[in-house]
Amino acid sequence: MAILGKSKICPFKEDSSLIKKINYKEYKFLRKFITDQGKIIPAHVTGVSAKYQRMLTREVKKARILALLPFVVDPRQN
Amino acid sequence: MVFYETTYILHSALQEGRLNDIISVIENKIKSLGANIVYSDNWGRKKLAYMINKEKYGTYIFVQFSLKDSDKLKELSAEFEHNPNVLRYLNIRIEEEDLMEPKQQDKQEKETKKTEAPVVEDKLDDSNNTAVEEKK
Repeated sequence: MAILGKSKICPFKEDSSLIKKINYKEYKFLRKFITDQGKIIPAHVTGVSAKYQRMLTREVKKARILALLPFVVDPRQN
Repeated sequence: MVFYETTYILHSALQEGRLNDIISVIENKIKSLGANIVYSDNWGRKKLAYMINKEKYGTYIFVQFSLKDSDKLKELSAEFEHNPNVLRYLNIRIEEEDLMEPKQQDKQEKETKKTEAPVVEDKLDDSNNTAVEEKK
């Protein structure tokens, strides 16, 4: 789901218009940064810089509270 | 003056009229705290990412408001806690620039959205705007 490649360049520094999409309301966008299991993908995989990774984690956690994103997805189900 | 946004999830089994009743009850509660509702939206019925109170679906309501006395937010939280139709809520403090434009009528809304979008993005690089819109 979250395949942005192993880019070493932060996607938010490349395209600054994406920054405003770091918001729990844009949960479909945030899906790119979580695994199929629902875990937040580490920054060293996605290449996101520390500043935006912090913002991402906060927003993902807000989206989880509102059940817009899962806390966990059990791969044995479905 | 402090700005907040609140998203709450209502029981999806509610009838249309009953739903609007509850929304107005909550909006009146917000107004009774001395708040001014800037923007409100119904995101509609959505599938929840996980079950809440054994419910699979919920109706999402989104409100942005300004509040003079931030202590009053506890009263709003109490209202949500005691209302059995509210499955989940989230109050977030926001900055003034995060406020959404007040809603127009449906037809106008689509037009304004198109025209508004670039205005917001003006601060950012214009060259990126087209790229993002194409992705949508």
